Amino acid sequence: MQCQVCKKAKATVRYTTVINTKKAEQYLCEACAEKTGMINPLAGIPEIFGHILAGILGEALVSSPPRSRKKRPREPRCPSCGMTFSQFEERGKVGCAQCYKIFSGEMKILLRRLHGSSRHKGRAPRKLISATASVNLPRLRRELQEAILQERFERAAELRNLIRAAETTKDATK
Amino acid sequence: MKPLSPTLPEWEAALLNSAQEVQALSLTLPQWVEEGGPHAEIVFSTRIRLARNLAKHLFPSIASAAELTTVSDEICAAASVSGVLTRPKFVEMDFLAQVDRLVLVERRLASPALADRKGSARIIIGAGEYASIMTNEEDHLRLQSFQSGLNVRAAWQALERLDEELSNHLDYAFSPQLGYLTVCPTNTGTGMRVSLLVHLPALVILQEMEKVSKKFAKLGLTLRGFYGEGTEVIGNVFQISNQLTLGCSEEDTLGLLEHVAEQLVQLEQEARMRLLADKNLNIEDKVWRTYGILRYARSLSAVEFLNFLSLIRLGLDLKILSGWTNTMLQELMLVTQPGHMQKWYKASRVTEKRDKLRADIVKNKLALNRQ
Repeated sequence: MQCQVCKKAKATVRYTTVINTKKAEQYLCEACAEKTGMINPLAGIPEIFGHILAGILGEALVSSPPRSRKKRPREPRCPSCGMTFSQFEERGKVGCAQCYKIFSGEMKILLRRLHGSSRHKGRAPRKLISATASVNLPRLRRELQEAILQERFERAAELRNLIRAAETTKDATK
Repeated sequence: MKPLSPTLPEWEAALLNSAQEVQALSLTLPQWVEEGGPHAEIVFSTRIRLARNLAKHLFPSIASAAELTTVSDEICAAASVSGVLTRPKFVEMDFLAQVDRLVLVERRLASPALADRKGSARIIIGAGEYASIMTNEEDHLRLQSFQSGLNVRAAWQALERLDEELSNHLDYAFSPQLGYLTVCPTNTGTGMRVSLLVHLPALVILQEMEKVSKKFAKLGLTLRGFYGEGTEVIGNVFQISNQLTLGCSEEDTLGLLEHVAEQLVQLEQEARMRLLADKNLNIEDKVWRTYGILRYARSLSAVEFLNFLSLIRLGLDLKILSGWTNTMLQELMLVTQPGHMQKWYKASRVTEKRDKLRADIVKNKLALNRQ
């Protein structure tokens, strides 16, 4: 089959997108797929996942076209440990706690792939809970409302977790 | 200038005796093994581990040796005042010979990865080996808790307390959104892995394992052979554990594992009854033949032994055989492993010689305990 973009080379990559339950399939050659990878931020997911799995299992389970690195402007680096996201992809291991913050976007996609969720529902260190207990609850609630209205859902989730943690401690100390 | 402390803290002095500590340990049975918990005839052990890291230090994946030593020191200081561990033993992996490392792996106090690690890795072992900590394995801390049989709650109770004690002294890498931050994102969130060792000879003999493991994959659990590598299953012992650590609470995971394990116990029990009733399979003959081999063999490889022992256990549960307790067999299983054989019986490191010795040990133990 021919590549549907350049209509020249042989298609070797099938690209599936699902938007609102409507599935669309595209057949591309490697070069065009690479370009798509540059445009579409989600195209890199299988690659990230592949590297992680390769790191764990010692073999590449998912093959996908390599993304060209030349065209990319300088990759962001974790200021604390110096790791870049592509280094993390290769090793499957982060260098420090900061990495999770610096690469939060990519990390969330990856975590969702691995766990089907990127939201912690478990316990928290007690020390952290008592630190959040002294926070101004009404202010946090106001911020939460604002975040929801502005559709900043990531921030809203963070605030909700903080409020919940603070409330739990309050209840426990009653 | 900071004044020099006149004496080393107790835990630091203890590290100097690492080899002696492991030697003493190797000649005893872990206390938790002796206990024999619920469904011990099918579930050998319950293990829960938590992965934790310190926020202010680089992770073991890239940290320097000096930084990792600081990390180990901080953890040891925090662990030395733990009430859960009660006067723990401190072991520096670098001070140990190969055989001592092997002993720790066989007791599941060290992971194979930790045993191979050079520099700054330590193990802190609580009384009775119920709870322990590995430092600088994949993560800064790996807390573990063991119980005999299916005993998820007891294992968690100890581990949760230990985690809380440590978190009072250590700053964990934690985010309210993502939970405990780990080196590998597969552990991020709760950092918790619950693993049960289950003995399923009847389901294997009746060829029902494939059906069972497919069912578990859908629940986000993995079921695989515990001994051996790849697809080979030795001694019909499987490990069942949770895969997911994000989006579910500790309580969710504990409940799931407990529920599934109970189902698995029931399936195996039913299969054992069917096995006993099936005249064509003649399980009684199979068990007695196995007993015969174990009594009279002159050489036994580790794999052979585990496979035979599985049938002996089955025979005991089905009342075909009598005279041994589960604990005796657990002990036999531990002391016939290469590291412990070298410690208990001064066994050679040559496999063939060890196989002969293993046959002797098994023969004597079986004869001794036979009514």
